[in-house]
Amino acid sequence: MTRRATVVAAALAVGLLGLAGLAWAAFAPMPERGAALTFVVPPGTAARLKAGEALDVLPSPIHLTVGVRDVLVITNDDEAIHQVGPIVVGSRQTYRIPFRRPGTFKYNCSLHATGTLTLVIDPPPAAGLARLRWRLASLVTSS
Amino acid sequence: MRARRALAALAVPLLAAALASAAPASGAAFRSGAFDPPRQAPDFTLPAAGGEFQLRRLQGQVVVLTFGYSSCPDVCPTVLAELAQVRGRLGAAAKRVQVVYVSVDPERDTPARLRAFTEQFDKTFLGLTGPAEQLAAVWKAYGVSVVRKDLPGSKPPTYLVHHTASVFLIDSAGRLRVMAPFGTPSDDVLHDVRVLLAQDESIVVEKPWVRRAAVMPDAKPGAPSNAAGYAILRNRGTAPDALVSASSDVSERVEVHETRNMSGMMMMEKVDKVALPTGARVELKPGSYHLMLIGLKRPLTPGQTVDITLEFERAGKIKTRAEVR
Repeated sequence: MTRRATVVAAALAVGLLGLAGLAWAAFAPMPERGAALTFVVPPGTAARLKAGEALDVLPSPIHLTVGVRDVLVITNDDEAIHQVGPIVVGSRQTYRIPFRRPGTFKYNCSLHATGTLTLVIDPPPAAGLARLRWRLASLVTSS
Repeated sequence: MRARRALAALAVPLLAAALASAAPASGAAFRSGAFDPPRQAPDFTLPAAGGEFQLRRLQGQVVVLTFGYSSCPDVCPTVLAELAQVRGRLGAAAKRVQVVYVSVDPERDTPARLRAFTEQFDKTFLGLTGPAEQLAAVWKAYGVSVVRKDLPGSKPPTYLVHHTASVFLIDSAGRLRVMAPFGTPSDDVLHDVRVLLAQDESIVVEKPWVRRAAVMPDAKPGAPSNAAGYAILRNRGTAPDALVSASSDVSERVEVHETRNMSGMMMMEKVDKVALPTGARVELKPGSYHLMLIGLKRPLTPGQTVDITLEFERAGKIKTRAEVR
């Protein structure tokens, strides 16, 4: 084999491997469990609410994605009990809930300026381009 | 240079693969929403048939607490039907679980009406209602929002009650462990109830087996014969316990024995109990503690199983199925 043929063969092999990798990233099943999205109620929140401060501790809607970021964690670092939607979290207590199915949930919530906490659980990225994009994005954010 | 670029192109998808396979594993025992650290569930008292109901008095059982009302058209029947199903699937363990249903509609829910409603799903469900202000305090403690919505144009005038339909799981020590929002699959609720029940099972019996005594060629047919039973006993609980007796359908009686080495002579003696301090692992094995199945009612053959019930001082009776070897 000539030197040139070797280089071409090597490049082809590398290219094929790369394609196989991309195909894997686009079609391989999603992990069963995703990462957690954590919200912290900071110390002094009750006092600030009492003083009439308009606090928007949490966004609404809160978006989660099955298999990607599908565990909601609420940690209360305040001295007082707080209620986030239907969740009453004691002082220095954490509530942790995984979601495995897509859906939208609406709850009354005094910690939201709108009075409503909306939770949107999105389905995992579909096989193909969406999944490939997600894998590449997670590669960028985690490196 | 070109090779290096090609290598980089290859590395991207491979790195992605490595990252994806290193996805975070969840070590949480519960499938639904759990509190950490767990705290005492807010206690409450409400009027009940034959006196007063107090949540704290249910300690020792796993409590499944939820809220609703008997005129509820949709959500409440769904929740109660699912809880009845969960209770049904628990089998014998269901007797250690109490479902408590607190009304969000004190105006229409009389005790009789609420009972008629809950009994449609399961006769053991406990429906509680009472004065509005007393109920409101319970709703607040559990973060249950209750909003009355009048139905315009309805004759006679009627209303719906919008309410949080979460299911709360309280362990046998009275601590609020899980809040499962409405929509949690009943399989997950069942799983989490089982986790709480398992935590109460302090004594675990592992690898039970039975060795039949050798049959002598000159044994007369019908002569009584014995067998020995072995197992590993663990106390995972927080209190000391002890094995005090055993019984089985296959023998006249079962005794707890200990083989002792008395200056070279092996003695088998009946013992009153086998102590199981907290954290203990005691093996019933040849040459040590074991069970004697005395007066077998039928011959045992290797491969078959026999049921043996062990009785513990604290944990009570535990059934095991031992393989004959």
